[in-house]
Amino acid sequence: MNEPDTRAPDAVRDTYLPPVKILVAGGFGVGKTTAVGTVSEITPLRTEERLSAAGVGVDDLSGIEQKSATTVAMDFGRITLDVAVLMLFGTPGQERFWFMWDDLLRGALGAVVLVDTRRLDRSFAAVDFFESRDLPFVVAANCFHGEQDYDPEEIRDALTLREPSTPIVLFDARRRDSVRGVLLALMDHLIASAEPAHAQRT
Amino acid sequence: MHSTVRAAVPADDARSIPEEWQTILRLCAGPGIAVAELAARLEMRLTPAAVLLAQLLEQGLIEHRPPMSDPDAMNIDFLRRIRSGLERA
Repeated sequence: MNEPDTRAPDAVRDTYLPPVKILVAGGFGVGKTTAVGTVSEITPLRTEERLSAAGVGVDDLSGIEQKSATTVAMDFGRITLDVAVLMLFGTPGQERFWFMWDDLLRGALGAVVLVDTRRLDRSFAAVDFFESRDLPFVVAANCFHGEQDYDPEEIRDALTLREPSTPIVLFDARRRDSVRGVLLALMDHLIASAEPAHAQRT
Repeated sequence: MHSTVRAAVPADDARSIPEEWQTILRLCAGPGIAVAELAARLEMRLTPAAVLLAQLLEQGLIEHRPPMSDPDAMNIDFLRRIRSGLERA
């Protein structure tokens, strides 16, 4: 298979690469923006969307929908590979609004849930959300100042992860290799999940 | 937000269209750009940007690539190729 330079300005038709969507979630201040920025090939962008809860559990009174609308902002970064373009979406922290956001999960291959072990509770909502919707994810614990007081098993227990195979990795959101390692762990997890159907072992 | 679009015609060949549309054609020339990225570069929210893009799509000025369907995304060979690409990135 020939692999043309996908970044060429005059890219030909067959270089229209499939987009692959990966969500980067976690509570406020856990390093989502840093992680997306570290690994992205472009300066991360902020994309906004206005969500409205009109009609969701409320009577349809005029004016109500205004009050229950919110603007959420996502960090967007990308990594162009020879076979696909990875699109990284740093999700907004307002998890209570995610349920009315159909587009958030659509087409997502998997997710990374970032956690700060000093504030694990901030990432519970993201874990619950992906578990309840069966989106495969990895947990990545940011090592602030290069230190981590907990080992992955302690983190697993504290998060009460439903799926024992969910990987937990330690990483540093400021190091590109480290963030890429988290994405590789996600790919390994997705491949392992897809493997039974192929009856293969690694 | 995760679909990609790309110009079906060069911006220079479409001088009669609105300037905003020409800007979009310039932004999505090349291998394709995510709607989320395009919206951010246009400083628009996602939904208004998507509405605008739908107009260009209707005129045949851009092409649209939807996100992969589940069977494609779960194709193990494709996942492996992504992994090895990422390793080299």
